[in-house]
Amino acid sequence: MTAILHRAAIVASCAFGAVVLPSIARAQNEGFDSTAVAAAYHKLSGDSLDLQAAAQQSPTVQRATNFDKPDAINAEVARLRTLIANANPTREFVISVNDNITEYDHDHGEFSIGLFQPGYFVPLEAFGERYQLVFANADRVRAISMDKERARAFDEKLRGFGRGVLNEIHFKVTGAGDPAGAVTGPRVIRAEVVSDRLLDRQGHVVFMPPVTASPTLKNAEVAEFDAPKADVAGFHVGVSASDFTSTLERLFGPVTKGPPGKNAFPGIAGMISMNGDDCFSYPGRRDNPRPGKVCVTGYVDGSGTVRSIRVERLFAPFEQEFFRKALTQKYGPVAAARDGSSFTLGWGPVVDSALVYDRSGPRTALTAHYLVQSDFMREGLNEAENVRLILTLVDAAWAAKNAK
Amino acid sequence: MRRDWVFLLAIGAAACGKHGDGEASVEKAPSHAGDVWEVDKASDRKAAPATVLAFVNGLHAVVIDGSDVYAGTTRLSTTADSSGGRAIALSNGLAASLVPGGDGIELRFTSGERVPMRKQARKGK
Repeated sequence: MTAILHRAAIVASCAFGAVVLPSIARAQNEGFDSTAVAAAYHKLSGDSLDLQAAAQQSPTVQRATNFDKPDAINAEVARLRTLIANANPTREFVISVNDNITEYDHDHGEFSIGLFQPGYFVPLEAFGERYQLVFANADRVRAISMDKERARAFDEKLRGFGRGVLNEIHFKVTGAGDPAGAVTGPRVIRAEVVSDRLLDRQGHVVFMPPVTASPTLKNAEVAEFDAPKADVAGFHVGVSASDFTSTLERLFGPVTKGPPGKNAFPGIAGMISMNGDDCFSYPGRRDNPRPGKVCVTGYVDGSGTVRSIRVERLFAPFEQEFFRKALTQKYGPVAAARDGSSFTLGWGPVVDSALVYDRSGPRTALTAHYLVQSDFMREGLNEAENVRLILTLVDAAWAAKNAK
Repeated sequence: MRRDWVFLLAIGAAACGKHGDGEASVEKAPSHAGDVWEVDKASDRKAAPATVLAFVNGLHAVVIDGSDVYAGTTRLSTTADSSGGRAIALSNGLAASLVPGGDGIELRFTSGERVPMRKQARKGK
């Protein structure tokens, strides 16, 4: 099963979990107010709610006669507006979710809490809409680390009740979007786990993970993504074409220079490339690139300054979360994302589509792409698919000045 | 190669104080000085986490010139660390060190990932 299918399956199991929760979960969730969570999200994130549409969904409006419906809608819109305006961002919520504890990872000496693995979310409904609740510090709560001897005893205990636990999460809403970029789509509620308990079906505590705050919460003071100072694999925009060229030649080998292409962004006058498009695999081709291949392309303006860079490297198959983690560690919370068996993450301001590598988005100054190089001609040979990582960086300030 | 590394350390020690410790600046890689090192075991899946981290931070192919490391157009100054290697401060609190071992260097990240590096066989321009 591929990583993405695995993740999708887990999401589905969480969703079903909400439907088939055992009695203890239902009882503990009775006090959970998804509307208040959604209201806090709208207030904090600025993501506006369609109040008219939400009002139409309310039981009060649906019960009203046609004669009274306009007044009922107006009253409900006013109530929802007040509800969101008065939402308390510091409020702590408690939700209980059917969860499980993974098998012991012998390499890392830890079990993992299912929900806190990358790509997991809790589906919520409020205002007639679906929301995805993600925890920004999930990675810091996920692991149950212990040595092998203690792990053996703990594992035996887990097997006694089929590894299923009730995950009682105390959290606060902090904003919008998954900072890891693993959960995408509209209405992604970003939350912070404040405390957590894993309970068995009798309500006994199985484990209480220590909770530390996510960098995104701790760091109102941590610098936001800074496009002018950013680099991709060490390469910066704004350097001279001659410095870029000599660095490429020293590190990797000969470069070629040429025109930028027919649909280049206005102001781009030339291209400097090392290995060109040689990192791309063509189905069935004998001499497709091997892991370790590096390709770098820079686009230069009329003054001889590099304004856009693409750096690629080919890898043997690996777990995509390594890449996602390395990126968020370096660049901070993801601004935009597109998910799938391959994925793209974005940081920084939006730039013209003529400057981005993949126009289907995100169209941000910095993008990172994880692309599985599928080759149906080689699948029968049982050869693993390689992974092509692409990092692109655009001088966003320059691009804004030169936009059509 | 062992001799190269000792030589490199000697130059590194001599160069201490030339730049501020842990500084990063935008500079082109030297055209001739130093040596080019690159991560080894490109197809090794176990090395993938370290290689990915090295790629994202530009350390998958570097020029090491005394106490300076050139990753793309970024110059990173290094400091001596307790393991006998050179410590490199990266962005957002991540750090790595280049530690001599065997006939080459090992790139070790403070987050635990590690991968051997080999001296590039290709001659510079």
